[in-house]
Amino acid sequence: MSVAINDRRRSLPAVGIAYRAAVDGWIRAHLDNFDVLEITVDDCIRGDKERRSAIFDLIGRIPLTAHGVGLSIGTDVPLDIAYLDQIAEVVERLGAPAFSEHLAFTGVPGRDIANLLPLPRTTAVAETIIEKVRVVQSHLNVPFLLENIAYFFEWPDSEMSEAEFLNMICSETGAQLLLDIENLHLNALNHGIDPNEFLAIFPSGVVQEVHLAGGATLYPSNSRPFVADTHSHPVPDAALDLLQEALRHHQPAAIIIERDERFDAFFEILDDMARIRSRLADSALRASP
Amino acid sequence: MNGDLLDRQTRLLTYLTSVSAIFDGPGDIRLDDALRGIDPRLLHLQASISHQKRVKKISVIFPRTTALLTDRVAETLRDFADVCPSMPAGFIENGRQFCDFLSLRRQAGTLRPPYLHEVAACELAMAQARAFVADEKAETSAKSLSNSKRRAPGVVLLRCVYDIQPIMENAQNAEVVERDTPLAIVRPIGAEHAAIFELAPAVFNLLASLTDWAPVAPSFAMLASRALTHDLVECGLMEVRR
Repeated sequence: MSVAINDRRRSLPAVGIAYRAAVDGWIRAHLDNFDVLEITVDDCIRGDKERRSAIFDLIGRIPLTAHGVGLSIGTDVPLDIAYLDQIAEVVERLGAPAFSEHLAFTGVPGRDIANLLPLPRTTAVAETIIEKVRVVQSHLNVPFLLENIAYFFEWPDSEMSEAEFLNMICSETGAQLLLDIENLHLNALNHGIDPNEFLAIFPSGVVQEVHLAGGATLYPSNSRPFVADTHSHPVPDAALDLLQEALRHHQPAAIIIERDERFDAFFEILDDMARIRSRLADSALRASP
Repeated sequence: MNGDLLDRQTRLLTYLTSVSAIFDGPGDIRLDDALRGIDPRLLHLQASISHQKRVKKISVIFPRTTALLTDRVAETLRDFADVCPSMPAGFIENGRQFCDFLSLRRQAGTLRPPYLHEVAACELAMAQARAFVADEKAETSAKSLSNSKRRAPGVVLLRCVYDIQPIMENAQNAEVVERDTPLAIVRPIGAEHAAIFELAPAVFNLLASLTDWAPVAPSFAMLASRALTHDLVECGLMEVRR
């Protein structure tokens, strides 16, 4: 059974964080601060016994949504059906209202870089992804959401923008969008794309969930500085501005803060929560007649 | 699917996991034709960041091993990246690759200190024991034999040529002696970390043979006194069905 995750705050999106076992105690101690937790299904499938138990113990205590990192939907080989079945089982057990994965690939048979890599954005590649999205959807009893990634490089033969590519796949399959605003913000900084143009491509309502995070700047010796998706710092104000822009067209059910480093700075996460809620309230005020 | 995309993806992964992409940067490297048009500096950045993430996973599993490598860590990890390209993303799989790499170096006689691969194997075993999840479906369907015993699932057996236990107890400067040391690594129920037990060689061999539920064999009955069986069960090394 799916749980409506934005009930707590009525018409406003639920705000929460991505569950990480490393800060399980802290999350439990602050559960009242969150409307929702995002669970990485791979932790339930491949995680150790303790991690699985800790996650499943949260069922019924707080609404949960489901996210994946291991599908590599963009690798040009058939999907791993056994893995899909495991995902479906976990999603059902969590009572998650949706399952999300990245529009990317991480490896090929025999090699896996454990990093999200972009695809050539061509019609032919979109068609192969569309077929796979349909396979994923046929295995799930909940909506499937695709997430935009942050990327360092692009394939030279791409025929369309990332937003056009995503939108083509979503509109053909009925898949919805997990809009990673931090990734959009980073791509804007690193590649000069216009984030507002990106947002304007998608029809109203397609964004079901949102990711926010804070990255770090890298200074490669032979290249200009790059901002990387490190999930290590507070959500930047520019990303919150983009969130407000997105909220003009979409009413996501959940907004999730991703944090994978500098866990000692707990106060930053709570501060991010407060800043997001303040922006949500502001957007709601502006939208009211 | 079309073979062309997979071929390009494979060539990209081959490049990104190569030592030249990770460490040397674009320089004068001639990119594979399939990657022409991609900024080589950005590929180097991608390769370098991905490698750093992999190294981070290794340092989590192998803190003692990497400490023993001292100033040779960077060189060793470079060689590791060269010999063992990044495989499926799991922590344990990645750790096993590193362990196998050190064993190869041991065989080639280039490992210092010579017990380093055994420390690595023990650290990997601790990670495996910690990550072990019983296959509940298999457990349910397993044949239930009365008066039978088996090695507890999740136990990792490791026979070392050196007594590396002082190292595992975080005594980095302890003297490590060459001595046959049969070890069993398991995460006791309710414990946060895996525990290491040194076994008598005969007990080690018996546990090694008890891969599945089996009636108590006469040889076992002779050796495994009630007290020994009790101790093995208490330590989480053996399961018994009466």
